[in-house]
Amino acid sequence: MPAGSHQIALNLLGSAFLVGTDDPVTAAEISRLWHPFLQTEAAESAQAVTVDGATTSDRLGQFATTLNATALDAAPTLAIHAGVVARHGVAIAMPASSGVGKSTLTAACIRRGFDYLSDEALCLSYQDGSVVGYPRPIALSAWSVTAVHACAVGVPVGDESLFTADDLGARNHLGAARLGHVVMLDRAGDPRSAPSLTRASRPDAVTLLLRLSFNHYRRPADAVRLAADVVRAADVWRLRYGDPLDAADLLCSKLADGPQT
Amino acid sequence: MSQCSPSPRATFRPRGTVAALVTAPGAGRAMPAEPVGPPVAGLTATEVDGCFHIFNPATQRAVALNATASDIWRLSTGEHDVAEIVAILARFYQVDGDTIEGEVRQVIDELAGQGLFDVAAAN
Repeated sequence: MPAGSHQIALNLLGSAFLVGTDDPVTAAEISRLWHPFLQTEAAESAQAVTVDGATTSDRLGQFATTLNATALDAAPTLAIHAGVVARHGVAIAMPASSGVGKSTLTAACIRRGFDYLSDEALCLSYQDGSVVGYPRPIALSAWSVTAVHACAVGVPVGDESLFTADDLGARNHLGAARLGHVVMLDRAGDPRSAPSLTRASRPDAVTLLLRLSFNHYRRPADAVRLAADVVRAADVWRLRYGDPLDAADLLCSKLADGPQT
Repeated sequence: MSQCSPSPRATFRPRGTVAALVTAPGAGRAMPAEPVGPPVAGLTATEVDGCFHIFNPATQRAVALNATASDIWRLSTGEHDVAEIVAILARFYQVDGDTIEGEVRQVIDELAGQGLFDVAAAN
């Protein structure tokens, strides 16, 4: 059992957690920000996580980092560093390493009407290649908040703020989705430059997905097969953009109806 | 799998599929003196748009091949030596064999360096 008078049961990608804290504000924020993962009771196998720290910001920041790393590493899916949104059950994955702007572009997309799956990980089922949502809180910098015209005030954590999809006027995608598009990101130096979306190489997309995977080492041969299978069935694009909302508008107009092959 | 590396690559341009130029070794055909390949057992090789990604469980590494390196991989069955592979590719790509031999050898060396060939079987 974790320490703390407030206890919260969560399940992220098959990993059960029982979270404990003495701070009611922290407990309330965890319940709100991680509400897609709330459980009515903790599983017997739940890992105990005690949340402490000097401030609510410290507590939530440490908690978010620990929870994310643990859940992705242990996920029964192939988990790949990517932002993921969906429309009509068709997912668009935007794989990229940290700092490229995944979360900002993901937030921009859901501001433009896409459903939210994740700002962190594309999770692919080894059984059928479907996309499993991982709607953790969206982490945005102050620049990103302005860039996507976020109306709500996020929960400050370090240099960023955490938002739910609901905070940004969107909804979480419930259930599995089919991967329709892989969009490789290319940030333009000039933020005012018009975005462009061009066809890109499927083999390059397979390589990128494998390079950005969190947990391929657990089932490496299956990971190679799965990455190839899902990319074979998807359209692959290169998005060059400066302004995230302009890019989201382009994705909305070009890709909102599913694969184009 | 420690990484998925982009090499080996060759730079001459593909013009279709090389498989059409590969003739199966017939009865009485002598085995090459220094065959390239065959692939070591247990590899996972997937092909997308003509390009292979190959995972080697022995090294826990995945290798990404471009289109021309993938053609060389297809020919690395243990039934051809380097000179034969160069000749097949030169005919297929409509280039001079001397022009591509260096790159072909380099790719084969890199594939071998990744532990993708069954050295015992080749001997």
